[in-house]
Amino acid sequence: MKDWKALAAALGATITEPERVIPVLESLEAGFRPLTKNIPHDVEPPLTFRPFRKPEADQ
Amino acid sequence: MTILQAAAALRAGKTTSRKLTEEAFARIRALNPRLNAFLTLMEETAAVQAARADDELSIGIDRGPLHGIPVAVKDVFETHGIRTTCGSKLFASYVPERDAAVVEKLHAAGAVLTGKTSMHELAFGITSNNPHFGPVRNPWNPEHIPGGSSGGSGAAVASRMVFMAMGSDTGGSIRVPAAYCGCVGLKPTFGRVSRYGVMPLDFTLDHMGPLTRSVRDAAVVLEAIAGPDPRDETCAAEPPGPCVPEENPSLEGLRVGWPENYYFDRVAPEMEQAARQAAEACGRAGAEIVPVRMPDLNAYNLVARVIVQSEAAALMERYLDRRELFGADVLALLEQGRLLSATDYLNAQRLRRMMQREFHGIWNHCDCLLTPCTPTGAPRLGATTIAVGPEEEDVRLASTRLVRAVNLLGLPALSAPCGFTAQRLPLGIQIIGQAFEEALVLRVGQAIEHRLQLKLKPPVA
Repeated sequence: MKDWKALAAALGATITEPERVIPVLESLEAGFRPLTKNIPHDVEPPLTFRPFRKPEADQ
Repeated sequence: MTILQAAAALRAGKTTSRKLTEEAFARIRALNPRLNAFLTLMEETAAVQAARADDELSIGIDRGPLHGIPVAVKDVFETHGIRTTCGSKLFASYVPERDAAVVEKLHAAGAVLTGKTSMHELAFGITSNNPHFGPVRNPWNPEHIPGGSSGGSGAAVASRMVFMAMGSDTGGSIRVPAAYCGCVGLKPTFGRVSRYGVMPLDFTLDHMGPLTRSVRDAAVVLEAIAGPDPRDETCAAEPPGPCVPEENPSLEGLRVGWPENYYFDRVAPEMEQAARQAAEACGRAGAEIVPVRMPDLNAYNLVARVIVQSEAAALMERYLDRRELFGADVLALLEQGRLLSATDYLNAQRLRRMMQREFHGIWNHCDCLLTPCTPTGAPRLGATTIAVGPEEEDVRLASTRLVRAVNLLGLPALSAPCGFTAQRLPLGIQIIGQAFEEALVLRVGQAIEHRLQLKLKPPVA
């Protein structure tokens, strides 16, 4: 189990209503963490970076 | 009256855009004090646009079915010279110097923009119970929520204030208010409609689409607002084809998927019954109803929530030292998002890729899916939980658990009315299609609408 208050403090943040924030994070963590164990190494996130092309007039 | 009926009346000389617009503002003035559907009215500019629309039609300039039709946009769409709050105190006096791409396209189509609709704060919630601008109320029962985050758009369309209102949908925010308010909501494919000039909640999950009184009206609007836009690099290059279905379309040869698991595991019996009526309507139109096994959509929802909260927190982090400017529910979501790691976010996006491939296999068995949009009718205003059968569930999680995965996958989905609860609150059916197959989704929705012939005039209208 993560110490969310300590994590927030380390980030220089505070948790305004811990009773509202922490249980949700813990249930998210419990459901999400196991899913991450079986991702094949070659699966990339669907986030695409495209470099700008040189403008036609400059070529 | 629908957009298509009003368009026919305009061209037959039976009404004018000035008259339609005056009627719209009369209804807004009468109903908005009870519903709070509008945040900002644009009466002066609307009158000018209506007069121009009439003048153009009189000399043969016809911009298409939206020409002269009074519409509205959620207050997340930037409007040149008109404040755009995003339902937030942070932007209460923000006046953009540009129009969103969708607003530009509505103007080009000749629509008359009446104003900006109310919404959940920052589009980050499902109730539209806004702590800064007041709660939006459901025209079927003002003690109930209209859904959100496009709650004002749902209430404005359902109560006949305007013919169409634009919404945005990151985890159900078009489809849920459409279902709770008894109107049609279309979330197009990711990339179908430009996001340029829309105040973002999430870079990779935000979708723009219309809420309307009929399925064919939703198609008319999609044809007007879709298409490429170099200012939004996620926007698809190819323009959409025609997608307005026939009045009574045939579904011969179509396989409509009926989920064997997940979607009906925890829904109110009246919701299941209404969904079955919609499936029977598809069958009468010629479709084959085929059972389909769904993947673990609870996992899809978890992954979507990690992405939503991470991206929203990244966007809003610069404002998080001004806590007094946020509502408690939105602040909690943003604080949660800030504590998720970059590793978690990237792994959620990698899982999204895997889920996209997994879900795509469903299309080997069917052409579209028919599911409930929400487990129940609209929850009561102020409630934090809602009874779903014998269980109590969190309102936000319950309202979104049947719609959120579609945002993760970027697929088109339509919410259309399919029945009522015992308390006479509307229920919506969700039709999910393959990417860029809006025309098919709309055809199935029209087949259901035509055969069910529901009476959809709410008490506050």
